[in-house]
Amino acid sequence: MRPIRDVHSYANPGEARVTHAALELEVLFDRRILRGGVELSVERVDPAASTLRLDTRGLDVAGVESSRSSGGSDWAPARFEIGEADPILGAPLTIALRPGDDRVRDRLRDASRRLGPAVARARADGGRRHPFLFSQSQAIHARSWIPIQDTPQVRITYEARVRTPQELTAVMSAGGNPEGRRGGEYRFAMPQRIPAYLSRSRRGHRLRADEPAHGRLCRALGRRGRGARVRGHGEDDGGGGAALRPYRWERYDILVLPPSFPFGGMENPRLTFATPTVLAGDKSLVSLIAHELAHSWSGNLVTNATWRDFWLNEGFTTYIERRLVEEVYGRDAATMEAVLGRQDLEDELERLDDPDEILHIDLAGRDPDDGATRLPYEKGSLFLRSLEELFGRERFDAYLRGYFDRFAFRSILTEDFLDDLRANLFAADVGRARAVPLETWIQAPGLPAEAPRPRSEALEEVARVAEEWAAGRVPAADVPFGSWSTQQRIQFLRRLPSPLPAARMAELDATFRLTGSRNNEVAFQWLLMSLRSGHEAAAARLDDFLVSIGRRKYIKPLYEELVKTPPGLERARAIYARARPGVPSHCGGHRGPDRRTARMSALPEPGERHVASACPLDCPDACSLDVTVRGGRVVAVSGSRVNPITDGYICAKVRRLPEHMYGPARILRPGIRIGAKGEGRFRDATWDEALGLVAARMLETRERSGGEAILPVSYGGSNGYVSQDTTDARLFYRLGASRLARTVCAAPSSRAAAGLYGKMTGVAPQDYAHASLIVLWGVNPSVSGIHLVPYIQRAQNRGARLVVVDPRRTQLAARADIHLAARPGTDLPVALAVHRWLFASGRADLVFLAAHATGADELARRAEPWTIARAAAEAGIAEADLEAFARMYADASPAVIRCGWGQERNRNGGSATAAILALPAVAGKFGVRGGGYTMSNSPAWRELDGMAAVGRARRRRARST
Amino acid sequence: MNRVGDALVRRSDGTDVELLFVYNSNALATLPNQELVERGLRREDLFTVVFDPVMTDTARYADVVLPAATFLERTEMSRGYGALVLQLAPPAVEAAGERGRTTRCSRSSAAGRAVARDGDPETAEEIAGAILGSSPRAAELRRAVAGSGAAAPPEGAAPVQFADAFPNTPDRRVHLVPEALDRECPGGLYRYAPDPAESDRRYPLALISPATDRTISSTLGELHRAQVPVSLHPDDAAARGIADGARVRVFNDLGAVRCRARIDTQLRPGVAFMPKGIWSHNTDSGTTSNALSPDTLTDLGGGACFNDARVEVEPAGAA
Repeated sequence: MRPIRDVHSYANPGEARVTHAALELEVLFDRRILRGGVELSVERVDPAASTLRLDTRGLDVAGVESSRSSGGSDWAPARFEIGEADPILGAPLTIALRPGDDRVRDRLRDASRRLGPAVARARADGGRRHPFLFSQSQAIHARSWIPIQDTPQVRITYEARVRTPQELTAVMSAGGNPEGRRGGEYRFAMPQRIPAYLSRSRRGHRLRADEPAHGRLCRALGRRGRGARVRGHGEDDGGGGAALRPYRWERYDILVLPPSFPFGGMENPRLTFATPTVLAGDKSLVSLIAHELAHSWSGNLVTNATWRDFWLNEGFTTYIERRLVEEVYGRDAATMEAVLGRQDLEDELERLDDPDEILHIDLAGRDPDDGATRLPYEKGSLFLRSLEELFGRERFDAYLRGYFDRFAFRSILTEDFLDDLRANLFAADVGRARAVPLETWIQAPGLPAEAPRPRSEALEEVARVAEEWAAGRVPAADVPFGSWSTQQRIQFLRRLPSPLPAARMAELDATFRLTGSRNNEVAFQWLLMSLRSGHEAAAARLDDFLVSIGRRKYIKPLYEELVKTPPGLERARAIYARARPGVPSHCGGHRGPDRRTARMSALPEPGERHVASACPLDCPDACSLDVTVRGGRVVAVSGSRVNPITDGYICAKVRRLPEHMYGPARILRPGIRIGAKGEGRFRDATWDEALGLVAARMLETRERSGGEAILPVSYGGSNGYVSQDTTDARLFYRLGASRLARTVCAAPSSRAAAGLYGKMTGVAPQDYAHASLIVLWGVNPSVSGIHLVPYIQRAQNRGARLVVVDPRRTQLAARADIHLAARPGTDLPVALAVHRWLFASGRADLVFLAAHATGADELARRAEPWTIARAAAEAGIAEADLEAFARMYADASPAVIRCGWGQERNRNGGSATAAILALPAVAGKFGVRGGGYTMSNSPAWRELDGMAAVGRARRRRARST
Repeated sequence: MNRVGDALVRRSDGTDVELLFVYNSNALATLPNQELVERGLRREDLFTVVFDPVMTDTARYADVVLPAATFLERTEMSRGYGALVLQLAPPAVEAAGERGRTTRCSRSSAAGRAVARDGDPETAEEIAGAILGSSPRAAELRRAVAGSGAAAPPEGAAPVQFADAFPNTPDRRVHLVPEALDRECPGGLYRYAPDPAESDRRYPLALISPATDRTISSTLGELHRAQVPVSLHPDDAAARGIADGARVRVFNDLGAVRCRARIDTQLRPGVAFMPKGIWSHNTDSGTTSNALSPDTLTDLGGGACFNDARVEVEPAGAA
């Protein structure tokens, strides 16, 4: 297999690939230690490979040995090196392979300190006497308990020997799980090849509840007993199971964990872990088990090769989950799940930044858990559903069956799937295939307009009933709540106004006994309503619920609601103190469906405050911020609504500000160089010493060589008024220092805007929603100035056109009506050609020009050589596209040009910007909301003068000294 | 500014720079002709002061580093250059450790005292107050930022051009071919200069360096630890025998970057992409796209010509 670049792994499977792991582990609960070692079999993919590189995070490797399996050579110590640690990725463990050696063995000194990320701490739970411990390796946490090639493209078999104390049982998602044995030694073997993230173990007291639960859920799926018979081995009936034949893992068990298990489920092959909250008593919440079971195919059999491709695991699985639900409960039930799923997706899209709305998400430099939002699940599932609707179920199922056959036990990329899709589904029906906006689905944020909108009459009826009851036209006794499914009940509660008056809450509770509901989904929804409405009768149930249940999907929103009032905050603290032993120590590997709601760190702590702030960093948006401060430190930064365009969210960059402030790179005290220049070695100094030295050198330099030998360099680290051009400028001015022309950015565009318009204030971001045509020229708001994007989206939803001029097909270019990928430096001829076309076609607004402009004739003269054909050739774009743009621009109003800075960073940059900014004048686009241009809007604040404020009054005197 | 390297090394303007004071900037990561800037920073007879919240690439060359406060640790006033909003923010937290405030440098140093005047605003609060006070509608602005937290400019938060906002040219008209610009531009405004690769065919690829969602210019680069590749169109990569993920050398007469290659179908052929604002730890060679950026200047305003970088790419290890 070809090696795939995985930005989340240091491993070198293209050179040397691990094929098998033998673990030897001992669990010492009293000391909270997981101790042991791992022996790895290695295949030399490149015969000349001389090193094996593994992933580790926080592991203390005591020693490494290597040997060869044939010829019986002895184990000999191997050279190894642990590289620099990255906070997300951990550190590479590079092992020198002697010629011929194909086995390595690592001894771990003591993993106890590191049980945090992957392994929930040992604890007693649910009132039971025995502690338990489980591991959670997805996405990249396997490396925190074993050194391994922790990339899903590497699939291995494994075996394990696990020793536990007496009375405690170990189980693994592998063959050989013990039945009823306690203590001592356990042996497991996983003969099928799996990626490291699916290596799972759990040790501790085995719950007796699991057998009945497992049986019940399997029966809910219409089959008996073990999962080999759950799906696929039975007669196929064209339902979801049809795509899944055969089941390849021999056995399927469900291990129901204690209520504190923070996730819904985890799809370990052969052994799904599940939350007990799924046991509603009425088979209604079986979709979660259907989901985990579906992972036996999508995820475990065909695996995402990198975490960018996570949607291949989850989108397929969610799609199949709904098909299984349809098979067991019928189409109505499945449609209701799909409707609620789309609702969840739309909520998620509201919260996510643009780049995170892309199925094939870019996670370079990020924690792969960042990608585990609802998006890969629901958008991926909708995409597959759209294919099913377009090609018909029969053909799509046949395709899916082939897909699982072709890629069984392989890890694949999104590109592999797309190639397969084109070859095996699209090729046979090119006409239909053309109707699939494939790029938009895979590479663009948001949802394509063609995305399926599942409709459920049952849910619409529920919404109608909710409205009737809320309006007082129907008494609660006439609401058929008891005969509704869980999905209908949830929808009913969601559709009620909130808060409700006390009497109305009491009426609901008395009629439907909601406070006593054992269905956790319903109870959760009700408790949330009770909090919002101050329904005291549910208070005790809320306490119990929060103390006993760890599933983050439930507890996070409840806590969040609770802490909105000061008494609620007190109560949250009291409950949390009781529940804390039941909450796993921060578990890095959040499971997808619940992950978004899974930040225990968001719980308010004593002494927490919120400070309103504003971002001054170099960006158009100037976001208003909500800063969370605890113990005198900034612990979180998020968006507020003071600046209307911030609208409560900020970019991922500024969310990392606490790391910037308290990370290892922060300079904590003055330093004086002790190493060579560039080496970055300093000794600590006091402020007095350091400033004394600087000041002495400044005065000395001025004395000896004049002030101009001093050069201050500053630009834009912060654009705040206080950061630059205030006392600094005064100091350097008075010292007579050299002046720096701040020209690294925006100088040409600023000259152009000054020359043409005297820096007229431009169109505000929020007015882009009113435009009928938006032109993005040399700017990519998806990555800088992201708050423009929702307004573009809104305009597009209303039917506005989008044109992007950018040599790259950016995310916005991908969803533009016209993308002009002009060669860098050719924006000038492109803009001049549009001018020429406007003048030549009689589309120039001569009335506006006569009244408000000078130089129109001269501009037309200078544009004359640039025919569409010549400019298109120079820019390397299609003539037809350029002409279509000119025509579209002439036709549309309001039309707005967002001119950026990409077009200015070349030899023609000033003229190019001037030509672009001249377009709305020539085409007559001003005077309407959403029409005109935006360049820099800083000059709108020309009334403020920092230099004057801090020093100009004294400038003259300074000069004379 | 785009010729800081030149100023530090060649001293072409006739004045030797003996003391360099870098603040609010990671010059080495952001200025063109990076290798020249680096040579300047290595000069033993240059005394360099870097005042920054974090240990930037530039700070590693300092003779004295001074810890700066981040904007959450002092009063700051910000305005957008897209959003039409002015906000004044108090410090969210105390500057921990032995951090100073931005203003401390000028206030406390002997050099600062040597030029200080009575009544100068000094603290961040005083400065912000003085700047607000420079407006004729100071009282209105103060009320707005203290009330809702945000103030709008005189033309409003969402002005319509030619209805609420008008040109600030002396005659209030649009000047489509303004004389000053026409004089400044070599050959006149709107004159097109052809691609640099036409005169030097050794470097056929246009290297662009746009912003990404990792850093704000180079700010926060210390948190972006991943290796950053150069992206190439599949045709350009294939023509050079470069596979996805291969180690390559990107070079021209100014410098070279060693890094991985990424094949990117979203690029147009003939264009290579490496983001701006990355740091030395993001590449194998420690250099970034700035090492390939010429220090030529734009036709107007003396701006930087980052996107005029023309390069060749070869598999690493080739001669």
